[in-house]
Amino acid sequence: MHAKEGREQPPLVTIEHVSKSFGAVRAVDDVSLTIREGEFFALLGPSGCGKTSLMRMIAGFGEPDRGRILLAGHDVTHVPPHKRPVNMMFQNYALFPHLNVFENVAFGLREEGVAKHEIFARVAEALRLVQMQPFAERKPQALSGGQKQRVALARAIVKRPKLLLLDEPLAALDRRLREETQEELKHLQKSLGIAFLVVTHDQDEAMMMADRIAVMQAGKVLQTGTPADLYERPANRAVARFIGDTNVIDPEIRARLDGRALVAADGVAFEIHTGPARDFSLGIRPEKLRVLEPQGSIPGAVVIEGVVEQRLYRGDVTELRVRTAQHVWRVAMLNASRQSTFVPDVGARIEIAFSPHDVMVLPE
Amino acid sequence: MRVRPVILVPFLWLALFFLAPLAIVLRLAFSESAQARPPYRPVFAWADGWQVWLEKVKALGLSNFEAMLDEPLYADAFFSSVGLAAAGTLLVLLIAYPLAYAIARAPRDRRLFLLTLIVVPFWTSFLIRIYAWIALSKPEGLINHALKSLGLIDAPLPLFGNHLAIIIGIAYSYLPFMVLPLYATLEKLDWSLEDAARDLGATRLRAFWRVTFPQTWRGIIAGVLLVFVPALGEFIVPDLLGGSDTLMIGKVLWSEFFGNRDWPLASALAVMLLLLLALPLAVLRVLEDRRETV
Repeated sequence: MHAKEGREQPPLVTIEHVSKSFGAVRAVDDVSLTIREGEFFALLGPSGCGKTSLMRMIAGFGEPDRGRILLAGHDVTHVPPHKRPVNMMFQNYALFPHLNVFENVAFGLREEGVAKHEIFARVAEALRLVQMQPFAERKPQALSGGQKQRVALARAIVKRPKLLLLDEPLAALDRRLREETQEELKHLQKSLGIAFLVVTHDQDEAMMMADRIAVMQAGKVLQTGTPADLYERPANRAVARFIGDTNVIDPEIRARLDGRALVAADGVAFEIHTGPARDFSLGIRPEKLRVLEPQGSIPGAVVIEGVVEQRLYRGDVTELRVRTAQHVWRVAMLNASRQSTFVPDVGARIEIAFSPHDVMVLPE
Repeated sequence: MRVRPVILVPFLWLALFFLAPLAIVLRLAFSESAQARPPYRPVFAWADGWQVWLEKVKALGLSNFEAMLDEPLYADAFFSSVGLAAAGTLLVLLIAYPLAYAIARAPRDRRLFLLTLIVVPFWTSFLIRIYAWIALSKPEGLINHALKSLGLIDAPLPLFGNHLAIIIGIAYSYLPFMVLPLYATLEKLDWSLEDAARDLGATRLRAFWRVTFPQTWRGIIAGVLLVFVPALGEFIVPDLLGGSDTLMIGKVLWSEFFGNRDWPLASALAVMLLLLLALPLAVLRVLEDRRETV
């Protein structure tokens, strides 16, 4: 739903063919992106994929070697950071150790020359938003990690930027706090109406929070889309591998006709829609594979025989590794009830099944 | 907690090479001048024992200290020293800070090299370097000669034999003592803080002034003390670079010891100087502690 809203919003940031090298390394390689107003956007990728370099260029730290960056219609490619209507929350929070919480948050307003009483009101409001009002007099060293994160957030939003950049905002928090903060961030973003750009290597984090995600690898954007787009319709093998678990299979292609193909996996043939792709592999998510009960059947499904090699109980699901003629499949069985549903033992000979509609075509 | 014997080593060192000489100077300061060898008659004899010493302390004559206050020369020398040392220290600070900053921001693998460049001149004898500075700064010296040849000046710049020469001399001599503590402080700073300040609307200069500079107070204080204190008692620089009219306490001390052979008066001067230096240090210390606890 948010994605739909986002689609109607005008673009806020337009990145056009931006490249940036450090020495011989192409950190960012011909990237084009659009971030819309009021959108929660995530740059997702492994460390060293260029996501941080790209974000720093949007903030004004380091100019692109090529391409340009537009912000609200203005070319800001060569505008220094202090003149951009963009604020950033740094990964280590970068709180000023010699200033207390209030002065940290007030810093940007003082630089802007905002009147004293207004500074007081706006800092108080920002601290209230992140529930850090009682700590206004504390020095950063006297705060916990979660509290520092909140102060950094307050400091970044108090100037009411058009775009807030967050560099791995949750990486320093423990798991429990991270999940809470994800929801809070999402909520805060919607209530402020400021566009957020989050850089993260954590796909769960990106999926949970973002309206749209750009997946980056080796300086390039592999795919941009909603979390559901990326998960259900990955553009290629790398995205499918990066987002969620996938069984990736190199099929035997028996025939092609008009964007359709007859393929076979483990000797079982089925027909899929391939589009124009010539070289591709197939991806099937573990939870889309079903284990057939003895003598069971599913109409229209592709059924493959195999042996359970491993069984991993993970609470919400039980994961099986099933060896078939040519592959080892990961199958996720939902533990939908405490009454034990049918779960085969290790060594059992079973049949697994999937619908050809759930097969993802992954070009190289 | 048990004190480990290792910790005794520095204490012994301090007792032997700091407290003992200090005691000797103190004893000298309360002695009487005499035509003898050594040229004083001690009030406190080592053989007296501390009972007798206590008696003597009660009847102590402060004649050397009174003489010091009666003669305006000493106060003048002291204040003039403070002024020159302060000006020299300020000049060192102004030169050393940008240097230390640049080194701290240089690529990690180049920093040691740059620091070495700062320290290398100090492998040459201090005296030789000051003599070299004379050759450079005299009216017919290299600097004036070069500037004249280039047509930039008509008359030689007064770089030698005056107060300016002493200030420059101090700045030159003590540069590493300022650069090193400043570097040690700057090197530990998190530079993303400057980025954060710029992101919040500060120019590079403002970011430095509001974020980096306030975090380096400790280094500045350490550097200022390391330069100011020895500069205040400096003898060689004013003697060789200063004019005949320059009055510095170190020079006065020297002439009292070796010119007038009035050891007790010279010692009293030295003790006074020590007190005048120690007092501001103690105040600073207290201020530091208070800032820590806030």
